[in-house]
Order: sequence, then C-alpha cells, then structure tokens
Amino acid sequence: MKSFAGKIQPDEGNRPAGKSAGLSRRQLLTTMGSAAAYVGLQPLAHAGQSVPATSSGAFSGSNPAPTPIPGGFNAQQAFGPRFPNKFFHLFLPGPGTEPSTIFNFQGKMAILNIHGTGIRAEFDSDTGVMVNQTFSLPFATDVRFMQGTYVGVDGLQHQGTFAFF
Amino acid sequence: MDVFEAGHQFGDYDFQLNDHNPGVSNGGIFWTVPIPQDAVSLDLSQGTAAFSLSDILMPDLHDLLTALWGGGALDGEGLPLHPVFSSTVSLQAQWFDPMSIQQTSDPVNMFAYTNARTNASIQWQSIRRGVMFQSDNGPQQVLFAAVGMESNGVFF
Repeated sequence: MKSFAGKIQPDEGNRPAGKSAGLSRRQLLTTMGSAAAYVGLQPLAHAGQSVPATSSGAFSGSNPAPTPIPGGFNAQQAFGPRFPNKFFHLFLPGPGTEPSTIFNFQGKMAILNIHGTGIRAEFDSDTGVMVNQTFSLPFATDVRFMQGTYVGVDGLQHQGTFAFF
Repeated sequence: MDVFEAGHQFGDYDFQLNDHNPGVSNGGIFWTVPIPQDAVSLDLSQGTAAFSLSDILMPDLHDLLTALWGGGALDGEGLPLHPVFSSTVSLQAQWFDPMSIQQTSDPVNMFAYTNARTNASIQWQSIRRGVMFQSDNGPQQVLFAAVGMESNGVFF
C-alpha cells in the first residue's frame, strides 16, 4: 500500500482515487468484487452509509457455515456493565489459547496481534476536501486465518478458508 | 482492526476512533468470514505465511463497546452508542523468522495447536465516507504471532 499523505483526491462516494495495495483500479475492482462475493456484503458504492453490524450474509453463496468454538467470554463479565450480557466465541491471542474461531476444524492456522501507528485523514462529506490529517495514531490488530477441513452446520466435511479480523 | 486517539491503546474503547470487523454471524461465528483460498499462504517447513486482501467490505463500528452490542442505540447503562458505517479494509500481513516449536493440547476446549512463534508485520488501510486510515512505516510491536496446524472438535 502506498502512502496517501497529501495525495488524496476523493472521487465517487468520497473514496480516494488511484491505487490501493499496489493494484490498478481495474485489478482493485476485480479483487474487490471477488472478496465482496466471498464475504457476502454490499458493493463499495454503498460505502459510507450507516449499516447493520452483522455478518449474517457472509456465508451465503459459499460452503455451509462452520460452527463456533464452544469456548469464549461473557462481555459483561469481561468488560463491565456497559457491555452486553452475552457470550462470544473467541479467545484472546496468546500462548496456550485457542486461536481458531471455528469448531470441528483441522488445518493451517496463522495468528498475529500487532500494535502500530498510522495516518488518519478526514474529508468534508460534501466537497471531498481533506479537512484534517492526524499522524502516528495508534492501531491494534488481531488478524487470523484458518485453512483446511471443517464440519459445517450441515454435519458434513468441507474445505474452506476463513479469516478473523 | 482498531484505531485509537493519540496516547491510547487496545482496551481504551472510550478513546477509540475505528473498529473494523465483520460482525457475529447468526450462528455465533465471531468476526470471522470466508475468504478466497488464494488470499493466504502458509509454508510450515519455512515457518512463514502471508495474507493479502483488498477492499473487503467490513463495517466500522467505531469502538469495542458498539461492536460487541452489534450496533444499536444504547449501551448497558443507557448511554448512546456510536453509529455503524460501511467501510472497506485492505491488508497485507506477513509471518516470518520462525522460532521454537510449541505444542498445545487442551482437552477441556478440545483443541491441539502445533505452532512456531514468529515475527510478523501488517500494513492495512480502511476507507469509509469521510474518513481514511492507513498504517505507516513506524515500528510495530508484535505481541503475539504464530503459524502452525490446529485441530479441534471432532478432529481433536
């Protein structure tokens, strides 16, 4: 990915023009369409709209969905009363904890937990003109991928590749 | 994938600016979605891996509190949650410099994981209407990174 500092020229939907992740616009759109089909979400043209926060459609059009690992955490117990009293099927990254989020799985697994910094730019939603730019803002990522055999909700074995963000 | 105000870090959700994740599926799969097979590669003999995706659509739920509520109006104390926005995320991640092999077998949670702890790095970018974030070339702190083979459930 190329640095965008001082180079942003918004176009449709205030989306910055030009390349991303070293891809041409054509390549980017092709890749984008492919990825969007896999995650079952909406076209980029809708970026910016307020949306429901669910991935319920993510498994449509692909193999049957996997099932979640049985373990995890209760958000209210873990973080306090402002959080939902709900159980989530995830373990935080670290030695000895389960990295996979899907159950009845066998295959390759990679996990990273990285903190770093980045640049955040804000644009006027009407004109697309950059109105603020902040450097060295902290970020935190927990990214994982799983690739192999899993038992889907249909009870059958399938091959699949999944990512946790 | 979280961004914070200056001077804050993971856990400081009151000072969070962006929280990109794909949400929880109806079946309870947490922030996990299927991706193209060729988006990832992993070489167990070399202890390396790579993961690359461009412009996947992933909501920006602003902060962990809003994210775990899955969006909505109010939190558990009746305070307002932040709105959720459509956004796209691109990322390139690499795992390299493998270290010692570790084996974990957990009969309670029914999983086994044989892995090599590694070094790792990530470059990522998010775009939503009016806001763009991109990781810079500054130093990154790897809190945990590993590549390996896992089996759980019926395969344990």
